[in-house]
Amino acid sequence: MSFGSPYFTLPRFRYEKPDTLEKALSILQENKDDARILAGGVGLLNLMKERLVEAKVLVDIKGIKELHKLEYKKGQGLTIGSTVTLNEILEHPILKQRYTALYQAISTLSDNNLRNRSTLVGDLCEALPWIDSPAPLIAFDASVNITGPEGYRSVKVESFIKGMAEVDLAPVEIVTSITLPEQTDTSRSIYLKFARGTEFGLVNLAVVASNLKKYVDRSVRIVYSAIDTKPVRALEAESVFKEDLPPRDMISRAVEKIRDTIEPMSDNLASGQYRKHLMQVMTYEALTRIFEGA
Amino acid sequence: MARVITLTVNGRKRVANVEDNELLLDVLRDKLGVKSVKAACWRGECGLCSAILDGKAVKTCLILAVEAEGSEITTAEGISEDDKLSPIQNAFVEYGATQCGFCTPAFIVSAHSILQKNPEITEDEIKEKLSGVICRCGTYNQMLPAIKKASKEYRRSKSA
Repeated sequence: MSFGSPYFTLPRFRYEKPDTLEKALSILQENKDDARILAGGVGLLNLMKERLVEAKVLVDIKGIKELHKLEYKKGQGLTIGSTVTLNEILEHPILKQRYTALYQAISTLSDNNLRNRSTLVGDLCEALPWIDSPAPLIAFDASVNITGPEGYRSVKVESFIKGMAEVDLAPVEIVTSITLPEQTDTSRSIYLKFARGTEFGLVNLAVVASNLKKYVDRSVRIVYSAIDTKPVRALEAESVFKEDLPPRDMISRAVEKIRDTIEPMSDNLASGQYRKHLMQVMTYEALTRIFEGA
Repeated sequence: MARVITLTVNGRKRVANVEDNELLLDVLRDKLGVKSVKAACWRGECGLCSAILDGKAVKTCLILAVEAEGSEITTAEGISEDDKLSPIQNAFVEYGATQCGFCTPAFIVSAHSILQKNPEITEDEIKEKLSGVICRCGTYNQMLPAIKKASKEYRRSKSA
């Protein structure tokens, strides 16, 4: 049924379902800006219904076998292919065990029926400020693997997201997977999200830490999303953990650095001042839990 | 572009003429006569268009009909066995877990798919897994015990 409103129907386009990466790349090459990649479709079809995204050709990549890869290799890390659904990722036992922050982030995003369809790469490529995947991925120092007409390249998630709904990806390129580096037995991670009900977060926070006991090798990465047009890494606060201090002192100094060095945005959901308050409370909570678990 | 798709709906092979830009939701309702999938928000928020696609509960308003080529779809019509209501449907009747009934098929298929996968599911997990389907009448407090009761039947049939 259609009421003739753009809200309910999709504009006309051609649907293509190539079975190899080469065929997909050549369709993109032929159509350039007119083509869009379809994986889960949860984001894309909504944006097209609202006429925020236009496409003459949709390239469904779910028929390409090599993109449906979810593999953990000891010593190398976790590779998540671009057509692997969020629920498939959640079901991988290594995720909860070694990539806790990503597990927690995916568990809080959308709902079960949508997670059966949507993909991590799709979520990341949408690059809207409030989405959940970038903060944990950046905290884990993950990379995006991209194939295009000029061959293969790999970019850190940190530089892949360039701004609001803007990613380092040409219309002729395809993201094939995301790689998360191996986490050691000493690493701990946590994801906290402050949201009302199931709505998008006002502040999302991911912390990944390793070697907490030995300060020389200690590493702590603190990343926020939803506080600016793109994710923000708290470099100043991270550097506090390079010193040989008791955990309580380091945590309070890190929270002070967050207060003094990061200016979150104001929008119709929350003021910058309120976000800053949330950031301090959440960072204190996250770091305390990390050090207690170490 | 118009094309012909073949899919299995509730155990029956079905064929439909579809355009590339048609949604699975609209094709199910208007071309295949499956009226238990409801069209309400068209943007994946209310979950009333839920159906089971190849064993997984999904929202059909965010899937193209052409994407469903060759797949197997189960809706509320296909859950009962030989004219006998399924355990989840019986439990909904017993607990009066419907009011206006508009969301009922979506809750039935979503609950059916999660119970089939994991009949040992806890109350909190049921709440989380069904958070994508909305009941505007607010019969959640009847649905929750109904689903918990039905889970016993699923456990029995899984161990049998």
